[in-house]
Order: sequence, then structure tokens, then C-alpha cells
Amino acid sequence: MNKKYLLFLTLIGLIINQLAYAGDEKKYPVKDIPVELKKDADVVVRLNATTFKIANKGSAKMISHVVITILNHNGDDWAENVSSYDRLHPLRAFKGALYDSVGNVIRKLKSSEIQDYKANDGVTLYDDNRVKVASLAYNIYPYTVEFEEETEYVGLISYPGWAGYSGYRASVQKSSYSIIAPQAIQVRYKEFNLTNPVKKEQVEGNTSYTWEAVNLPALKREPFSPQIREQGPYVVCGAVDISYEGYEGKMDSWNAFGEWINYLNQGRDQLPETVKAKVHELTDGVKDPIEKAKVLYEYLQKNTRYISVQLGIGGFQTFDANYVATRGYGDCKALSNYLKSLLKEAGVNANAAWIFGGRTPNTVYPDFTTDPFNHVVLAIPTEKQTYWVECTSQNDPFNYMGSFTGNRYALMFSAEGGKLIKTPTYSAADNLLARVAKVKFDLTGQATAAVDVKYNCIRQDELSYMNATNSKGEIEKYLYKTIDIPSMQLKSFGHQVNKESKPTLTEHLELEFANYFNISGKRIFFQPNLFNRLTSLPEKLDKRRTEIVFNNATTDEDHIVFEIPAGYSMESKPNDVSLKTEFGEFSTSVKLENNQLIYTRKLIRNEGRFAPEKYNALVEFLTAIAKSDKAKVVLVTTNNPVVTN
Amino acid sequence: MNCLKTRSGLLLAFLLFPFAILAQKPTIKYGNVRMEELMMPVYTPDSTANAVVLADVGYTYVNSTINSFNLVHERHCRIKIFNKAALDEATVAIMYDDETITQIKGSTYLLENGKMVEFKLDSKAIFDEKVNARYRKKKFTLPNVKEGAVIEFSYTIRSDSFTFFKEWEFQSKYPVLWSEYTARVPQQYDYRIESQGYNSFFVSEKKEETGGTLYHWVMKDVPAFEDDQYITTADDYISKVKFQLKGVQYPGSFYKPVLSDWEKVTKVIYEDDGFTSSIYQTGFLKDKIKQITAKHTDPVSKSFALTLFLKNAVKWNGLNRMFPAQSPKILLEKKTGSSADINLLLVGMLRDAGLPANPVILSTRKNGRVNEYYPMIDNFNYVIASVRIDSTDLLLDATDPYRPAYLLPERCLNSKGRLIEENRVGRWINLENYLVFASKAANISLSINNGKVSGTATVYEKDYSAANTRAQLAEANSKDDYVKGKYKVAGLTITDYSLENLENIDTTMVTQLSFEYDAEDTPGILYINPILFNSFNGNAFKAKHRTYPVSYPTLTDLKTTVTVAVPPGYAIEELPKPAKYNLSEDGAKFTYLIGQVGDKIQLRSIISFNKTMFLADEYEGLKAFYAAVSAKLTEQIVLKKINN
Repeated sequence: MNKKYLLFLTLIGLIINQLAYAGDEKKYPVKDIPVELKKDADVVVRLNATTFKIANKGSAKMISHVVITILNHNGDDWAENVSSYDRLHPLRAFKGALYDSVGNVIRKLKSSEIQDYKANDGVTLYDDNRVKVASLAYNIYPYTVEFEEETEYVGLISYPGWAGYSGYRASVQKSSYSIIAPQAIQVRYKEFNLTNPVKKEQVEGNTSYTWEAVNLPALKREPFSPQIREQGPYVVCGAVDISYEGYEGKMDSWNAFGEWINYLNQGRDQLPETVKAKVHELTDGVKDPIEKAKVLYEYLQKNTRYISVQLGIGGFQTFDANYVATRGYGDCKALSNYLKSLLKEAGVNANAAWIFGGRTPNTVYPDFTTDPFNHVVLAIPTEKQTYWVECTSQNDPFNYMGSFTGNRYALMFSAEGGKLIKTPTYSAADNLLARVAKVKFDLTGQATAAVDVKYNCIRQDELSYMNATNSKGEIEKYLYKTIDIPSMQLKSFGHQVNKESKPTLTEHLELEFANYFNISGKRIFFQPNLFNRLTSLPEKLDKRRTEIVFNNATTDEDHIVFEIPAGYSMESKPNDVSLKTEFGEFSTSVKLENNQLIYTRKLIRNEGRFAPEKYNALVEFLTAIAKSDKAKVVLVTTNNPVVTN
Repeated sequence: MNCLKTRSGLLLAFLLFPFAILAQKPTIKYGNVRMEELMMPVYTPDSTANAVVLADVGYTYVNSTINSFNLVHERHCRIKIFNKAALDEATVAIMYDDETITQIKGSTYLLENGKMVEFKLDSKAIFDEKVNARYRKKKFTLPNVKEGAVIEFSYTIRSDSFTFFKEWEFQSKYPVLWSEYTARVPQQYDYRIESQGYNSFFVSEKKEETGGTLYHWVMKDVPAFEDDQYITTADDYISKVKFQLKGVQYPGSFYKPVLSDWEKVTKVIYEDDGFTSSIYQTGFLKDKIKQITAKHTDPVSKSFALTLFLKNAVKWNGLNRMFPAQSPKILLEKKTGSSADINLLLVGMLRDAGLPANPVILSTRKNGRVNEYYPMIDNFNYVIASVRIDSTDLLLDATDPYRPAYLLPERCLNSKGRLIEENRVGRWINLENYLVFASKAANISLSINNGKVSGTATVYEKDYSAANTRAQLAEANSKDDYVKGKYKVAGLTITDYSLENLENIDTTMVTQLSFEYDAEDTPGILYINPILFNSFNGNAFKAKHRTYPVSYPTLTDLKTTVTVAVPPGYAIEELPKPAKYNLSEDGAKFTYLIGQVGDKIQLRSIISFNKTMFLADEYEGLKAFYAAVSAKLTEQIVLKKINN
């Protein structure tokens, strides 16, 4: 993963303004907080002022000043300030002070209290990201902390944006953001949910752009809500001119931005002769370009692995193809560039594409160029369609983009510039989990089940990954943890992956369990939904504020057959259900045929964004599912019970 | 109990050096990879292993030159990668502080066209990074690692410090074919050596030689180390040997004991610059201490009052420490500090109040076990206060404001601690208190009307149970959120609740609830599940088998009584049967009684855990106990409409 991500996250919605600690005057007394800002709040952001001062198209300074009043100990995390820095973003100042509720200075932050750590993302072998951390947490509430910091930008690509909110249960008394730029430098911006639009001023040959929000009430987290920053006013900003470590370019369109990325990464595709020979050996006999691509993708997966090393050009420039050829490893940029080079040698045109990797994608605006990306994949465009490959995985199928990179925009770049293209999307029918189980049990409650499950597309992501990277013992532990059946023993299990571009993983389980069938006297109680119960429900809200967001559509099908001991009949059974809503469809049925009790359940969940006022309908839908899922069958015998427990 | 077993049932010190075994394998030479290692298809004893450590060889010795005297540690490791899941083994990170790391070498061996090909680690691909103020890290990854590869690496660490001789782990995440450690201990240095784990040595020998002693250990075919739930920490169970400097004897001078026994270890800790500083810098608090203790006459309430004062005056910053980092003055100014900052000041304040107070050092549950038989300084990571009252020791910790003064936090409940008196004399004391339970009693009463069940519940929580509830309540966004989360039952609505004795931490906490839900029914029949708000997790143990003991922080006692009013027009059709389960001589106990009294059904369920440690061979029983209890707790009452 490249390092742009870290900066992107830390800079958004931050802070500033210089200020000297004045003498005895009381600062930020708690009595100045409007009463409505204390509602549902653990902290009040008294001031969050950030200035991004651009000196020229290649350098800038970020000055931030934050004052936060912590009302109770759930807000203590806000008393900690974390500043990231690296070679191209050196930290020039870091100050802090602690105030009591009246506004007296209790103490100032000493430099010995600031800790300096390596910023570790858990996957990178080497980069130069570091953090400075200091906490002013206190134990008499309320108290107020103040932090000031200054970070230099050596090289400029995108400009930071701003958001009124940066967390839940935090009200904001005043938040402002200014970009100050020389008149020759253009600043682009796109505003959302603003009460007051930008204020533009000319000061001493500079143009300043200022956004401000005051008295934003604290927000409570709502289930299935959009990102917090989208729940209040926010602005995304962008540069027109890029100047980064001597590489200059434009960012006023996706095309121009792609052109610059290409410029930064071009000419890095020379392969050693031995590898060239290997490419021809593997592909000369293959006609179809896509078939060639499949062969070379397999070659890549067998011979390389993902190792992230970030050196030079801020982690934006790929190591060349020779680096990967000789070491057998690289990061997302280097591996994508390597496969692109292999394909070029085979006469197949492919382009790398910047993308956001993660389950919840960052927003990409087709009409406004930004850099929300943290990952690189390879696109193989043909006349009919574009094929996609994930070069950091040794296991992913060709042309499959799962929950990490699917269903979103990527910026493909080449000599022709950049182009936004959507990666493959999988429908509810594609993302299927289908389960068939046969269950037998006796009157001591001992039971066995033979289970076959089919996981398709994004439903197979986790298990596929586990099968590729974990030991059998770890997978067994995972199954024990995720199958919620009492006293279960896994007699055997097996997985098989079919690597199509819509992949399928099939699972076979042989289970033994006890204490599931509750045999009391002449009755047997049990839930026919053995595997797939919805148990946690979102709370009801008096008034839903935010849109409801579901990122993926899925289908679940369960078909479970229970063999019933002789002499028992059904005394009570759950009602059959059939529901259809805009959030999805749900149906179940229970029937007794001869000595077989057959339970079927089907749940389709739709993706999309839904209006806040639909929330209660959603809760009703989910409640109906949960109710049906836990409903019991009661069997009763007319015989005298033969077994007691 | 076998003297070789500790309370944890862990076999300690499996007879160090009983006899020397002559059978030895030649030492593995770097670069000398054999064809059969490259062609090895699978590790037969564990065919599911993704990799196997072919050899891991360590050697520590003293290197003396004219101007230096160094402790040198060499390591050479060779690993076979069977499949992609183990590729990460090719990335190595070595953490170090005041040491130097040199001679890093690494190679990958592949079979290409029937021939062995070696790819060497490029020195440019070795990275060094500063982790924090104290530690640095060397990192590298080997080139061209693929399925079937054999990788190896070696490095040397030099250190000026002789206090901590390098320890050696014989076990890893993958099976180990051969793990060998040789330690040449110079005669000037006398180390205490401790070994632990569940695997036995293939070679364990000790030989006196010129200038010192040679130790040599080998383990063969060591199974992969598997982490388990409900153990204190994996570090307690992995097979390893460790060293601590016990004494020094330079030529021509007398033996100088360093950390030879608990007395020495205790003394060193006590005399460490920082340790007592907090105890003796309480002068500025004289008046405050007088004022706090003036109201009390007996030593117990004086102790509690001072503890309570510190609990409220200073917030614990979450750090478990044995040595303080700030002076008492700064601590009270910053109002936040580590366990050592807080509890050592408490010792000082107690002493100023004329009480016989002393610090007790201990190891938190996450930090692992303290081995009484092996005095090791780095076993400890936490300190609390104690006051001698008559012939008992009152243990006090001021880091958690939500528990009464007499209740130690769960993290401290780890067998024994070492009390250090002012005259540097130490003794062991038990940290676990077998009189205090996590106890909870719930009285529930249910009545049914028109298919709706309505009920009330009163929940009494004491000691650990109450402390945890109070802490969780303080963390929660609101009382409402807490109650609705904790007493969440699908389909059930809480209509009213109250919390009593929330602030008064020395008393039983009482939660009262009113609730209602729809009864499960079918025409003419009602099914009632009487045990609501069941906090017993019947599926807690799912693993097939277990190597390590199950260790709970506290004893537990859960009582539930339920009264169900049979609605008019209904009669009892069926009731669950009474039951009694017992495990390990009342180690765990379950009683379930049910009966009809007039028009009411009365039920009483008691689950108690009367010991905190269940050995691995009791696991099967414990698992069955959990399953049987949870099955019983879901049994239903069946009521039938009377035809008249």
C-alpha cells in the first residue's frame, strides 16, 4: 500500500492559527460553551482553525490550532494529539497547554512529554512515516486542551480539504479552514452541506479562501450511516499545478492527473533478457491476448509476493520492472508495473490504475479531481470490456475484484492521460451463500449434520483468503469460532475454490453436536434455523438523521432437512414468512413431510442509499427476520417419553 | 501435589542436565542446504504445516579483546516453505537497544530445472529503523521466495551488558525439526537458568571447561506452538530457556552476588533509584494526610480513606509499571500516572499516617507467571501497597475508582506477589482472595396476560461483579444505553429501570427492571423460557482439546430465582426436571431446582466456580459442564389451557 493514504486521512478535517500563550487572562472558560453544545457530547471542539499557506506551487505550510474541552472521561482520547510526519512533511512545531474549567493554565506541554514513534501500518517493511504523540489527559472534568502544530509540505499534489465534524459525541463551537495562495496559484474546491459558502479575500498579493462553521451540535452514531465527515459541512480541495520532487504537472482534470502519474512512472518497464525469454516461452503459442494475460498473471502469482518498501518520491513512484524480476517481490505499484511490463513484452496493452483498497471506498467525484487513492491494480482494456487484476495477491482469480477493490472508480493512467473507470460490480444474485444441510438426532439430544455450502463472489473472499494464507489448524479454529452450535465437534471439513472471474468456494462440513435439541419430557424444542440467525438488531430511533447506506447486495439461501424420531408430531411451528421491502426480500417455510422436517429460508439484501425516514421500516424488516430466525418448532409425542434427562 | 508442578500444572524445569546424551547431529553449516530439504514435499508428523523450521541454532559466548569484553550472540535459522501461506517467514525483524547487529546474511534456495539455485540477500535491502526512544529495529526480507523454497539467515548481536544473557525459544509458530542452543558462560558470571514449556530436551548437557561452563540444549521435532484462549499469556507456555545474572566473580576478588536469590532481587529493586523515591517524597502532603485520617481510628478505615483519596485525586494512565516515572508532586499536579506512580505514593502516604505499609511487586495476568523457584527481576511489572494489620496483609491498589478499596483489579490476581519491607526483607503473599467472588443474584418474577409476558427483575451485584458493572457504567454514554445493552434479549422491551448504590462503591449494586415481551404460543399452549438475562456463556469453550490450563481471574457465583404466576385458566403441562452437576470436587457446581407452589412456579438456579484454575485434563469436563448448564438454562415451561 502506498503512503499517500496516511497523509490523506490525517490532513482532512484538521486545524489552525498561530497564537502566543498570553499572561494571566483566562482562556476558553467552560462557561462560554452554549448549553446546546453540551447535549450528547463528551467533548466540545472550542476551536479548530487550520491554515494551509501555499508559498509556491511546490511548497506550503499547514498551521493548525485546536482547542478542545473534555466534558467527561469518555472524551479523554481527544486530549491526545497525534501528528504524523515524514521526510517530505517535516513537523516544525508542536505545542500544547492544559486549562481548568475556569480557564487557568494548569500546565504547558513539555518537549520531554512528546513521544516519537515509528508509524507502523502492519504491512510495510520500510518507509519513513513517523508520529509524534502527546497527551494532556487530566482527571478533573471538564478540562480544556490546546494544541498547535505546524507541518511543512515539501512538494504539492493535492490540497487538504476540510470537514466540520471529525468524530461522534463531539460538538463544534467553531471550525475554520483557510487556504492562502499567491494570486498566480489557482485553488479548486467543491463544497457540501455548507451554510456559508467560501469567503474570498485579497491580502497582500495573496488570495485567501475561508470556510467556517459555528455551533455544530454533537452527533450520535447511527447504524449504517455514511462517513462522519459527510454528516456535516465539508469541502474537498484541489490544486491545478502539481510540483513534487521535480515532477511538474496539472491536476485540473482526471486526464491531466493521470498524465502526471504516468510521467512519474514511465520508462520503468525494462525486463532482463531471461524474463523476456520466459514471457515468449509462455505466451508465444497462445493467440488470444486475454489468454496470454491469464498465463502471465499466473506466472506473476507463482513467482512474486507483496513486500512494501517506500523510498523516494514520497512513495508515489514505482520501482522498475528489473527490481521485481531480481528480488521476486514488490509493492502494489511495483507488482502492477511488473505485470504491465510482462504483458507489453507479450504484445498485450495494460495500464496501472490507482484505486482505494478497503471495504468502504472513499468517494471519487467524476467532476472533481482529487487523490482519494491508496492502492494500485492493473487494468487490461479491450474493445469489449476492461479486465482487472490484483497484482499483490498470489491467489485472486483473473478479472475478479472482490470487496477490497470491486464496485468503485479507479484512475487508469497511460501516455494518453488518466481515465476514471468503474471496477466490476457484483449483484445480489452473484454474492450468494447457499447452504444445504441434512440433520439427524436422537432422543438423548445427540445430533449429526452433513452440510454443503456454496460461497460466491464477495461471500468467498474471507474463506478463500484464509485457505490461501492459514494453516489447516487455524481454519479449523476459525470454523469452531464462527459456527454457533453448542457442543459442536467438527468431524471433517473441506474447501474447494473455483477461480472463475466470479469465483465460487464450496465447503463441506461433517458436524456432531449435542444440547441443541431441547428434549423435556414428551416435547422436543428446537430452532429449525440451525446456522444463519440474525441476532443483533439496530436500535430504534425517534428521528433518524442520516441516510442509510448498504455497500453490498447479497443473497442467503438455507435448506435444512431434519430427520424426526419416530412417533413425534408437530405441536407448534413458526409461521411461514414472506416479506418484500426496498431493503430486500425475506421468506421462510417449515413443513413436515413423512419423518422429515424441511426448513427453508431466503434473504436478499439490496445495496444502495436510502432516505433517513425509511429507517423504521428497515428496523421492522430486520426485527421480523430476527423474530422468525429464533422461532422454535415444538414436537410432541403421544407415547410415554422413553428418555429423560 | 507433585513438587515439580506449579499451581498452573505446568511442568517446570524438566530436570536440567540430568545426563548428557552423546547422540548429536553435526551442526548445520550456512549455505550447506541439502537437496532433500529442497525436495521435501511435506512435514510428515504434521502434514498441515505450511512451513517447518529445519534448524534454528543459537550460540552465545564472550568475546574479549584488549579493549572490549562483549557478549556475542549468533543465530542461524533455516526454514522450509511448503506453500504461499508461509511466505511471511521470509521477512525478519530484530528488535534491539544498546546492542549492535552485524553480519546479517540471508539466502533463498530454489530448485530450478533440477538444480539448486541460491539468491542472496542484498545488503541494500536491510533496513534499520528507530522504533521509539529506546529501541531500534533491523528488518529485511529474502529475495525470490516461492512455494518449495528453503530460506536461511544468520546474524550476530553484540552487547556490553551481561545482566541479560540471550534467552532461547525452542518453539515457533511452525514445527521445528532441530533447535539448538549453546551458551558459553564465563566463570566470572554466574547465571540463574530457568527453562519452561511442555516439550522435552533431546540434549541437555553442562560441561565445565577452561574459563567457564558450557551449556548445550537441543530440542527435536517440536510441534508448532498454538496460542489458546483463557491463558494468562503465551509467553508462560512456550518452550524456552532464560538467564539472569546471579553473581559476579572477577579474578582475584570475592564473589559478588547480584541477583542470586529473592533477597538479592528484592534488595536490588528496593534500592533502585526510582523505586522508593515516591515513598519518601510525601512531605508536602503531611497536612492532607492528617486531614484524611483524622476522622478514622482503626488502621483499616485509615488505609481505605487514603486509598480512596488517591483514587479520586489521580487517574491511572493505563500503564502497568513497577518503577515510578514522576515524583509525587508532579503526579498530583498532572493528576495522571502509572500504577507505580500511584501505588508507591500510596505506600508513602500510609507510612506517613503511621501505618506499617510496604510495597508488593507482582506480575499482571497478561505479563505472565512469577516463578517462585527462580528469582528473575523481569518477571515483575506492577506494584501495589500493603498494610500489616494484626497478622494479615491488607492489599491496596488505587488505580481504579470504581471498586472498593479492598478489591484488587483483576489484572493483579496472578498467584503471588513479593512484599518488600523497609529493611529490604521480602516475603511472598497470595494475591488471590478466595473469600471474594464475582457474585450476582437475580430475582425475576413473570406473569402472563393475553399472550404477553410482563415481569420484574432485581439484580444484586457484589464485589468483582459490582466493580465491573460500575466501571462499565462509567464508560457508557448513558445509563440508558448501558441497561438496554446489558439486559438485551431479542423481542424484550425494558419499560422501566432503576440503579441503586451506583456511587457508593462499598455496597451491593442493585438494578431493578420492568419489562415485557410476547409469549411464544400455539393455540391453547404457552411456552415460557424462565431464565432471562442469562449472562452465562455456554459456548465459551469450543476448541476440541486444550494444552494449557484454563485460568479465571476470580471465583464466581451466579444465582437466579424465578417465580412464574400461572395465569388463570391454564395448568402446568410440563416442567423442566431438577438437576445438579458437579465438576472437580465442587470446583464448579450447578444446582437447578423447580417446583409448583400454589398457582406459582418457583425456580432456583445456582452456578458457582469455587476455584480459578482448571488444568488441561479437566478441560473435557469443564466444556461438558458449560454445555450441560447452558442446555438446562434454555429449558421451557409448558402451560396448557384447561378445557372447561
